[in-house]
Amino acid sequence: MHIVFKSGLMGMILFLISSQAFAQEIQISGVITEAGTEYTIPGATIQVKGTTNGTVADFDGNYTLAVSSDATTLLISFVGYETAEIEIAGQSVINVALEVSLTQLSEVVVIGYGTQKKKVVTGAIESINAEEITSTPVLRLEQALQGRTPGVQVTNLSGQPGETPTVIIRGTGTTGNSTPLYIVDGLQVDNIEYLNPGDIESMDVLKDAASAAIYGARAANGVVLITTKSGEKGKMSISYSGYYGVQNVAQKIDMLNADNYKMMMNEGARNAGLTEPFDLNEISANDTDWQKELFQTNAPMFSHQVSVMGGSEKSTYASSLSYFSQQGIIGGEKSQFDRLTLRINSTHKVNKVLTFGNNLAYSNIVRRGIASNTSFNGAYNGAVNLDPLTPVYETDQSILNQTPYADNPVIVNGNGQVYGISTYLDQGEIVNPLALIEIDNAETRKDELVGNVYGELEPIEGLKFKTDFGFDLAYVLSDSFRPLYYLNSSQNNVETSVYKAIDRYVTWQWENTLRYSKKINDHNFSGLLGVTAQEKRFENLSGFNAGVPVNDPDNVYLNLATDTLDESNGGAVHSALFSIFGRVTYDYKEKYSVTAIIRRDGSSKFGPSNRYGVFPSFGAAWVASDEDFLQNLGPINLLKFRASWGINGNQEIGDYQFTSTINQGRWYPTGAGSLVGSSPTRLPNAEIQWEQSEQLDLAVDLGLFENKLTATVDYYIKRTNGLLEYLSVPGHVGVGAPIANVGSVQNNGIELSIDWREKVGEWHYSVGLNGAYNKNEVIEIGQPIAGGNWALEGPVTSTEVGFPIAYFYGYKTAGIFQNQNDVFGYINEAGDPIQPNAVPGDVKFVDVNGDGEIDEKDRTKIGEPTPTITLGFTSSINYKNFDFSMLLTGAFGNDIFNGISRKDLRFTNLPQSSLDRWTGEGTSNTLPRYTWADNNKNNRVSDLYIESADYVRVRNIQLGYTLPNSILEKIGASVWKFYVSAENLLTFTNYSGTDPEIGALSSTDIGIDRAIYPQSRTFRLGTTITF
Amino acid sequence: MKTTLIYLLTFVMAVLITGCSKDFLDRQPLDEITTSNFYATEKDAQQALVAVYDVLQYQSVVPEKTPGAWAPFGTTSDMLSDDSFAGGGDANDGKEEDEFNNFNISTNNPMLESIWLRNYIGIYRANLLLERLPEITASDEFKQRAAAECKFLRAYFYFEQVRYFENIPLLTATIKGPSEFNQSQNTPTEVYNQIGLDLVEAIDVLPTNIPTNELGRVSKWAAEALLARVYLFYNGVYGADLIAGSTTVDRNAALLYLEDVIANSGHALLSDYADIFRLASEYSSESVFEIGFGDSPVWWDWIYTVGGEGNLGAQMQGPRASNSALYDRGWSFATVSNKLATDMAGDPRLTSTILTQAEILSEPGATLAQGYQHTGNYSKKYSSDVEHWGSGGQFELNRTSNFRVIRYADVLLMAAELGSGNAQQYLDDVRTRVGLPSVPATLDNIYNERRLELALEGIRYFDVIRRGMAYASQELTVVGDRGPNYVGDQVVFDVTFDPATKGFLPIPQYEIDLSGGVFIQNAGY
Repeated sequence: MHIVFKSGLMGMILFLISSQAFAQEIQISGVITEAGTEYTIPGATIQVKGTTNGTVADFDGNYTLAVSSDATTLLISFVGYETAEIEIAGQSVINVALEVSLTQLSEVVVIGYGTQKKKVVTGAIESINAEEITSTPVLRLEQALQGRTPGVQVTNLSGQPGETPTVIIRGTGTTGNSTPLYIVDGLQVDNIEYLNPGDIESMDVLKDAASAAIYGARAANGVVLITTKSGEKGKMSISYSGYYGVQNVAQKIDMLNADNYKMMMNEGARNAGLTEPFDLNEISANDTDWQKELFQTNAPMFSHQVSVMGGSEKSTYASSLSYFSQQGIIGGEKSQFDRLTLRINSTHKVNKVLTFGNNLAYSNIVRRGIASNTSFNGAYNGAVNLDPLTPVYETDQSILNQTPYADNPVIVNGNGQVYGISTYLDQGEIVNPLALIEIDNAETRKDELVGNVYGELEPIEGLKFKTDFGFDLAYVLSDSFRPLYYLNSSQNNVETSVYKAIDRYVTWQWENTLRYSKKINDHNFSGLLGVTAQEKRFENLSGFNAGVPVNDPDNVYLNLATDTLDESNGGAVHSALFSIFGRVTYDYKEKYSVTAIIRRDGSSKFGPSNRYGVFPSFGAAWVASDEDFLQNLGPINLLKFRASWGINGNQEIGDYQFTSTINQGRWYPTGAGSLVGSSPTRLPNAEIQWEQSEQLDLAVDLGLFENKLTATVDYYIKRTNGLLEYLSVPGHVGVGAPIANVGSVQNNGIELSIDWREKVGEWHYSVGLNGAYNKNEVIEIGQPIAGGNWALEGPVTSTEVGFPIAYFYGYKTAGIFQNQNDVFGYINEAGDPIQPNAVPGDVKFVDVNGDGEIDEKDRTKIGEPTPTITLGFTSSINYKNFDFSMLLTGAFGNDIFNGISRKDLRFTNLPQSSLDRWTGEGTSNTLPRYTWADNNKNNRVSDLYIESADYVRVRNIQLGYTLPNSILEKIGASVWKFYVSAENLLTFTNYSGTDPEIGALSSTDIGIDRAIYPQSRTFRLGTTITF
Repeated sequence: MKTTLIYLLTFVMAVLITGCSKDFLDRQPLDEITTSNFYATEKDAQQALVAVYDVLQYQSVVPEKTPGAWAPFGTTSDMLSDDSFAGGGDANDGKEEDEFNNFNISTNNPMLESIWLRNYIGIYRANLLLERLPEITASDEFKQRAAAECKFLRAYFYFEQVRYFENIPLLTATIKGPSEFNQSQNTPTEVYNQIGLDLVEAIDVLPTNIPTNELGRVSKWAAEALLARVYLFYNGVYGADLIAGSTTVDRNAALLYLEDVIANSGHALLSDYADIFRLASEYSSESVFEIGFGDSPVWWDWIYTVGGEGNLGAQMQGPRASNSALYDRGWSFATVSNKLATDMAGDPRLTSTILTQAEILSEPGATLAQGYQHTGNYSKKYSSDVEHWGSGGQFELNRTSNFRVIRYADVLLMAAELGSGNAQQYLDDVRTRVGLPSVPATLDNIYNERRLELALEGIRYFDVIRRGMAYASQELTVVGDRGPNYVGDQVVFDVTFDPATKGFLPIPQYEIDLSGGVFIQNAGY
């Protein structure tokens, strides 16, 4: 390390050395307009070609620029317009009319350590610009990718505010962490929740291995490059944008009312030979609709953002302050996400040779959440399963005077009302969901500072040396307070306790790159050489104590606790990465282009003998439509072929897996108290190394009808080898398994996107459709991996050879036994009944392996949780001052395991659909009889719980109005826009639960609905004003 | 100037690229000790030894990637016996247990893996410490005793494993890496002889007196008594003597070990039978070997239950009582059979052995949920009773009742069975304590005394199995006897023993699959 720092110091000294001479200057001015219209283009960039000298047009489109007398050409550019090249030729007034761009090819994409013109890009890179990110307000940045980027599957994990969506690029390639690598302004960050979407200039997704190879060992899941906004030279602009929205539940589940509930419970008891619990002639005192009680009405969310941007010849800056707050539709302020962000970006051109800049972001996030998808103590799970006979609040004084109310710390709300306790579900996990939320006091507060400082030297034109120091510092304070409570006889707490923890995360990264680009006639070369060192550290302190004599969850501290338990813990983890990388690109007339990348990473996560990995890639592209012999292609304006191949790595495993650590928690109670015991946690595996993902990408880009229609098709085949998984260790080894490279997964697929954009008179409109098909298959795996536990039935998914990752794994059913003959007739070769415990009305399970009995070995594939096809549809229409946009997303080919009901428990409420159960011969062939004595195990994991999750969702519709210039000029604003928008307005699906979109809790726990916290339907009113 | 700058930049890049020292990437755990720097001091060795003891109280081991199940030793073996049914909340709740109860055990039953893993974890930890002891800096006295304890514990784990599974791999060294994963099964004789050798060697070294501040550690007497128990089972099933290295443990040798315990150990019967399972009687003079359970540290985690110290068996066997000041909410597993209740009728030990629903409901306000295979009878020896409640944590996971593995009464009865000259005296001692008159010390009377004296202590099943398959079929097949207080059809109480299995459990399917076909499944499965 010392050497790294020493040489870094030398680099810094170099910044101070520079020399140059200034030539004589002349002034040029003019106005930039849109061709064929009177509209001016505020913000257009005017630059002297081949230099960094430039300016930005003001809000009237006017500019003035001092250029040296030897300057020959001006470049005028703006997003959405074709770049114009104008000869100066001694003119002092140059007015330019820019053509509206109908092709994306003039766009520049971020490729990692630089940018590249889209036309010469050889890989599969999707770009989302600032306009698209903010066109529909997103709560979290990941959602901006949803439906806009084929092959990037974004699934919201639940409707809980602030929850991280699942992002999967080109299929799940690993059973470990499949989250893409996020690089923000060059710095790797572990999550992007700290970012305010309004601060983002662009997001670029590197989907293919060839593009991602520049990030080597961490790129196997794809890379998302995020660039934050920087100021531009010219007039300062100040803008405010904000919105207020209300959220409501879009879909509830029809559950039984009190009468039907009692009827069904009696039936369940009767079928089990038990006494019927209810007299159906008695009128129920209560008929509680728990979902109605649980869901908030018009849960609020709002966002405010103020930003200031601008710049001079020497410096540019962009600063912003934003505050976002969202309450959940379940739990209100117990399920709330608040984010404050502050950003300061600036660049300074010290002289002709040296540029200096920084990006700095502070964020403060306060998060309170409730369990969002669990069979155990989930609030929504409770609301669905709790009987309707229990009142929300118990008001009957005679009942309140008795046990359990009189002699237990029952929960009381702010108005002094006592939450009702079920007399039927008096044990177990199903409790009054409102009372459950009331005692939930967990909160985390995170302060995070992320930034980087860089200097760039350009001693001769085209040669740039950049040194960039970035850091990510986060403090997370977590606390939770367990009050006294009594929810039922098994969910109670007789002593208050408090838990507090502080986590400190520090990552620093120092990156040095040397870039050179050169154009010789029609040959364009560029080269990159870089070196990165990165270190991550984590340290944690936590304390727990009991006996806190206060009941205000906001003011509970460890020192208040009176007990002597006083547990404290502290841990630390560190890791390091050291990498060298290089890239060469070449193109001839932008017609033939090639890219080659190589990166060598050293990671502390692997054993000393396997620390280093090398990741090569190669890509080529051919713009066929530029060939002379292909000039008469009819409507085809652009025809481009791309091919790329590369290898990426994945190192996302725990630290120190190559060694074996000692666990000091092996207590043994003796007559002299509990003694501490210590033993190894696992076998060491010094051989452990990267997961390697190899990918081939073949693609065609098309432009038709003057590029009004653009289309891209990509085919890829991606194979992950050396999957990092826990080795299967035979029991007689007697100690835990190490992680080893034991598997292989293949994804292949096709991505397609088609866009049409046109301007007809004053109408601008565009429509876009993108879709992706992906097939996932496990080629090799140590041992099958079971995942996704449901209620008490255990795992629902399995990962094994020949199947996709985490397919649903259960029993196949063949209808319902209609009568005793059906049961007796279902016999094996020996003539014995295959299901000896079955009676008419029970489920007939398929003896898949034909061994004459139904057991674990008959479990097979019953469904597939990951979509094979994902679709996005975007459209926008602009007419005069009005704009309209719509975003539809869809997913097809996947299933949901509907595990909402806890049928394994007696007295739980049932969905309305359960009334269609079997009640006698011919009544149902899909829903078994309802019984409290399930000797046939009708409720085991089977295809009866599998439902299609296909859906199309109108994710966003928005209507906006921009005030006319005549008004704006009076108040001095350049833009003022209002909009109304609706999210999740409509969802087309056959799924019977609340939400067909169920993300992955882990790579092997996906698509399981345990009464998920549904996404809300939101209406928003917002405005943006820029001065 | 520009050229200089370019040269400088090139130099800087070159230094950066080559400049990273190896140390930068060498990251060892910060807050954990690794196997390479542990096992140095006497304190380390002491902790490593505690870790071997720790496995004694593992009752639910969740294997990697497969669901685990609770399988406390006493509960499990009593469910196999004619003393207990499976029980549980309903048929589904007790489905794995019911397979044990009615001898229809699926090779995928997760309880198998729980038992299999527990014993091999214990064996691994014992082997590991035996391997590392020589390099540890400690007194010879310490090392010798620790080694003897490791051998005792290894023998204990192997005995449970071979008694349950019969055909198991025998490992006396740790497995170092994947190349050694594949092992084959040894013959039961090889395993029993190793158990014999370990115990004989332990007997020579283990202390005769365990001071108060070491209660819970094993003594010479525990090793002698365990060796006699091993001999009786091995000789009963296989008709042979143990070849413990150069020592042959035959009937006489086994008896001599027991006579040594009786004459020299200071162990004695408690005066009141009802006191044996009380909290105050833990590590009492009657306890020759006892497994500790407790509530320190208090435990919350349902998933990693092996980390907790509570007696899960007591939770499983407790009645499903609510609103009771005497019984916490148990799960009504291992409901006691009417056969045992009938056989014990009139015996003074009945009320200390069986808890009846009438007794629970006699408490004003108390209610009782009747679960699967409800007979109205529960174990009173290990239950969710008030004096064994934990002081905090998740109440199900913190029951503090120690498990009495070998009681002095058992020592007396084993000695009588082995034909001690004092057989009559020993049998009379056991009966006199509970006020019963003398009966002749015939084998039948001794066997009957074992059944009643040691009921619901996890001993019955193996006492039956060691007397041969004909006897096992006669005793373990019980049909048409659900008693007066049952809930459920007679058929769910009917149990038929399958002599084809010889009373052994199947090797867990997971292990057979992992062995790549090397492991051979036991007969009858």
